[in-house]
Amino acid sequence: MPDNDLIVQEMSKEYKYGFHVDLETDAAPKGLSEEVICLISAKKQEPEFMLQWRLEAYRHWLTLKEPSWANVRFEPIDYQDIVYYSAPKSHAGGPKDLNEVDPAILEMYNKLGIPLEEQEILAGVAVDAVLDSVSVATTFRKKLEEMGVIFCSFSEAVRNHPDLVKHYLGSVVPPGDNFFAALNSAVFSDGSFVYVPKGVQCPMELSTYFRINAANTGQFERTLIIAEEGASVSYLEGCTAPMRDENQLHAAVVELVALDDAKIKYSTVQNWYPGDKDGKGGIYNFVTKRGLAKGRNAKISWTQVETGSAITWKYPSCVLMGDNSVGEFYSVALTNNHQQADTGTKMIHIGKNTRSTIVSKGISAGHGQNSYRGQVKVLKSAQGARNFSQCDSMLIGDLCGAHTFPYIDVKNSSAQLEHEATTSKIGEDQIFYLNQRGLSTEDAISMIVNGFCKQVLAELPMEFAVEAQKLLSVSLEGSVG
Amino acid sequence: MNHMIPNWVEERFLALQNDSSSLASGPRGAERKQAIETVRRQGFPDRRQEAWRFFDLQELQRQTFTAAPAVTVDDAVRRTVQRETLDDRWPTAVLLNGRFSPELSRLQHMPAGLMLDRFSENPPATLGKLVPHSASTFAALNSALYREGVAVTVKAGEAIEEPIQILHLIDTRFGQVVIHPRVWMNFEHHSQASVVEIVASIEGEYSTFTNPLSEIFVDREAVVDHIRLLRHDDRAFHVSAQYSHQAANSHLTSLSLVLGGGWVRNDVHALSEQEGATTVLDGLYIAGGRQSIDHHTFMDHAGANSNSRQLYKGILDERAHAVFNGKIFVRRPAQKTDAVQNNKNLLLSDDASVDSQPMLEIFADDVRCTHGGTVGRLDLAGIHYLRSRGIGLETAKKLMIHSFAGDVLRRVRRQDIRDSLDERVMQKLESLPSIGRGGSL
Repeated sequence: MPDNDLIVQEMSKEYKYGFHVDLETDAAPKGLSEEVICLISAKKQEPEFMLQWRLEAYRHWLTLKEPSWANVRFEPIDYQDIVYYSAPKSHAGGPKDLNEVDPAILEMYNKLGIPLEEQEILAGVAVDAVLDSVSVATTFRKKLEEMGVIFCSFSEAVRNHPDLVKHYLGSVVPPGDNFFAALNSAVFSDGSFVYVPKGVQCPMELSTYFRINAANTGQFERTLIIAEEGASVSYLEGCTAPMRDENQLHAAVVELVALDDAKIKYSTVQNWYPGDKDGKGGIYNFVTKRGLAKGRNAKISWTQVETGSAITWKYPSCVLMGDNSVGEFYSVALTNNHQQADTGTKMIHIGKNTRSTIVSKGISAGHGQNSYRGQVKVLKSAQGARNFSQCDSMLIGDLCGAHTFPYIDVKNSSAQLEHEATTSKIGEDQIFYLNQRGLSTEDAISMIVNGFCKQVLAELPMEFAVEAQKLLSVSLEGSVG
Repeated sequence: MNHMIPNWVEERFLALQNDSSSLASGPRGAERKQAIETVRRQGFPDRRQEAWRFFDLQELQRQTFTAAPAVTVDDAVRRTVQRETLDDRWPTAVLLNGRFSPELSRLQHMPAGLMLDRFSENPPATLGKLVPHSASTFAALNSALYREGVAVTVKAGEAIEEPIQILHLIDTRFGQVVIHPRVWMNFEHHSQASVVEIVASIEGEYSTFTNPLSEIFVDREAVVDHIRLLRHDDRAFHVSAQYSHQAANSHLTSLSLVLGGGWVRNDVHALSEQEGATTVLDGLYIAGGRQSIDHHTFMDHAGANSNSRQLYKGILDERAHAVFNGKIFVRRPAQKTDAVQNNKNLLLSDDASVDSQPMLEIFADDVRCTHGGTVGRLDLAGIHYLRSRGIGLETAKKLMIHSFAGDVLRRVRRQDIRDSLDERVMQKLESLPSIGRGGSL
C-alpha cells in the first residue's frame, strides 16, 4: 500500500496547486434568483444552452415543495440564506498550520493513518509550497488521454465537450426529477465528467484525488459518467478523512450512463462533518444518484460507506433498461451521536432478464437514527427479472433506532424477488467470547462491526476498503460504555 | 389535500343530525357527533396519502350507497347462512344488513362463561377505546353510522370449547347498500376461546360497501384464536379495521383469510402492551379477475419480552392486485422483543401484480426482528419433480399451490376450523383459471 499512499499524497498536492491558479475572490449575493443563475453561468463562461437549462430547472424548482416523507428531522432550510456561488474557497480563513487545528480532528487523522501533508490539505491549512508532484498527475492524464478517456471537471467539459454534455446531461436525472435535483440543476457549481469511449477499459481507478481542482467543488456537485459500448470504468468519490467544509447543505446529483456491455462501478466513502456530540451543526447531505443501464448487458454497481453528515438522504438507483442488464447496490451506513440517515436504493427493472442485488448494512449507535428505504420495481416488460435484497441493521445502545422501509412492486409473474431483513444488537455472547480471548470490549465491537459489514467492504477497491474499516472503528468510538 | 366526502355520506350525516329519535341522542350521541366531525375534517383519503397509495379509492368514491334496509328472512338468506357458517352447532350470531337476526342466530345453550349479545344505543363501556383519534376516516365512519354491534365476553378463567361464530351478511339483491359491522370482544384474564368472523354477500347484482370495525381486548394470560373470513362477491367494496390490545402473557392469533371481494382493504393493528405477550398475525389472500386486496398490518410492541409472528401469503391470478404493507414497531421499553414478519406472493399470471412493503421501525436495542418478502411464480423444478413421479401437470400445480396456501392454514390450531377453511380455500383455488381449467404455466 505505501505506493498507493504516496500516489494519493502526491496527487492531493497537485490538486492544491491547481487550486491556486484560478483563485477568485468574488461571490454572488445570498439567495436564489434568475439573476444569480445568470451570474453563475456567466462566471463559468457557459454556452447559452446551459444557461437555459439552468433557468428551466430553476423555474420548475419554484413549483416544487420540499419533500417531507423521509424519516429524518431537521430545522427548515432557508434557501434564500445560502450563497449559491462563491469562487473556490480561499485558504485565507483557514488555520495557518496544524497546531491551530482542533486536536480531536488531528487525533482522528492519526488513527486513520493519514500522512502529515495530506492532513494539512484536509484540514484546510494554507500551504503554499508545492512539491514536484505535478509530473505524476500529468503522467496519469496523458495516459488517459491516449486511451481517449475524458476525465475533467464539469466546467471544463461544458466548455470543451458541449455536445456530449448536451446529449447526456439530465438524461438520467431530469432537471425536474425532485426538489433537490431541480435545485442542483439550477445552481450546480462543478463536479466531475467522465467519458469512456467504445471498448476502452479505463486503466486505473478514477478518483477526484487525481484531478486538479476537484475536491472542493462545493455544495452543489454534478457528476456525469458515460461508458460507451463495451467500456468499463471504476470511479471513487469522497475520502475517508473528515473534510473541512463550511457548507451546511449539499445537494449533489450523479448521473451514470452505461451503453451495451458497459460497466460502471461507483464507490463512495462519505465522512463529512456529522455535527458534535449533541447534534449541533453537521452537513445535510441530500443527494440524487442514478445510473441508467441503457444497453444490453450493461452493469452499474454502487458501493457506499456512509459514516459522516448530520443527515444523509440518498438513494443511488439503477434503471435497468437494457436486456440482461445488472444493477448492484452495496451500502454501509453508520449513524452515531445524533446523526440521521435515510438511505437505500431503487432498482427499476424494465429490460428482460435484468438482475439486481441489494446488500445494505445499517449500524445505529448513540442517538443515531438509521433507515433503509428501498424500492424494487419490476415493470411488465421485465420478463425473467431477478432481485435479491438483504438489509441488516445493528443497534448499539438503547437510544438509537433502526428502520426498514422496503417497497416491492411487481407487475410480471416471471419475476423472482426476495427481500430479507434482520435487526439485532451485538450478541453479548460474541463480546464475551472475544473478551475472553483478551480483546477489549471496544476492539471486540469494532471487530464484530467489521465482520457485519464485510460483504459490502469487499466490494470497495482495495485501498478504500482498508481505510473504510479503520473509519468504522473510529466512527464508533465512544459509543460503548 | 382534498377533504371531500361523498354526498351519500354527507346526506346520512344530515339525516342523523335532524333525527331527534334515539339514533341521534342517547349515550352514543356525543360519540357519534365526534365521529361525524372526524369524517368531515379528514375527508376520504386519496392516493396521495402514503397509506392509500396502492388502493384504488376512486372507484369507491364514484359509487353511491344507501343505508342497508331490513331484510326478511327468505330462502336465499337461509341458503347463504347455511353455506357460510362453518358449523351450525356452534354458538352463532347472525347480522343481516347490519341488524341482529334472532331467527338465524344460535344463542340457546350458551356455554357457561360466554356472553354473546347485540348492542346499539348502550354500547360496552370500553367500546372505541382501542381506536386512536388518528385512525382512518373509515373507522370514524363506522363509529358514526353502525346500527347494531356484537359484543363477545368470555369470563375470567373460562375456556370455551366450541368456537364462536359471527356472521355478517350483506344483501346485494335490492340496491347499492352499505353496512358498518361493529364487533367488540373482551377476553378476561385466563380465558380461552376461538372466534370466527365471516363476512359474506347474499347473491345479487348490486355492488355493496362493507365497513367493519372490530376491537379485541385480551387480558392477561388469556388465549384467543381469531379468524376473519371474507367471502364477498367480486363487486363488493370492503374496508375494515381491527384493533387488538394484549395484556401480560396473553396469546392472540388473528388470521385474515380473504377469498372474495372486489376491492378489499384490511387494516390490522395489534398492540402488545405488556410483558410476555405473543401475537400471531396471519393472512392468506387468493384473488383472480380484477380483485384488489390490500392488507396493512401494524404490530406495535410496547412491552418487554414479547413475541410476534406474521405470515401473509397471497396467490394471484388474472389481473388481480395485492398490497401488503406491514410494520413492526418496537418501542423503547420493549426490550427482548422477538418479531418476525413474512410476506410471500405467488403470481399465476403475467397481469397479476403485487406491492409489498414489509417494514421495521425499531427503537429498542436488545431485540431480534426479521422480515422478508418474496414474489415469484410456481417453482418449475418442483413441478418437474412431481411430473417425473408420474403426476399430471394440472395436479402437480394444484398440489404446489395448495401447499403454498397450506403454510398459513396449518397455523390454525383447531382441526375442525382448519378443515372447513381448507375446503373454502380449495373452492376458491379451483375457480382461478390458471388452476381450475388447466391454464398453462
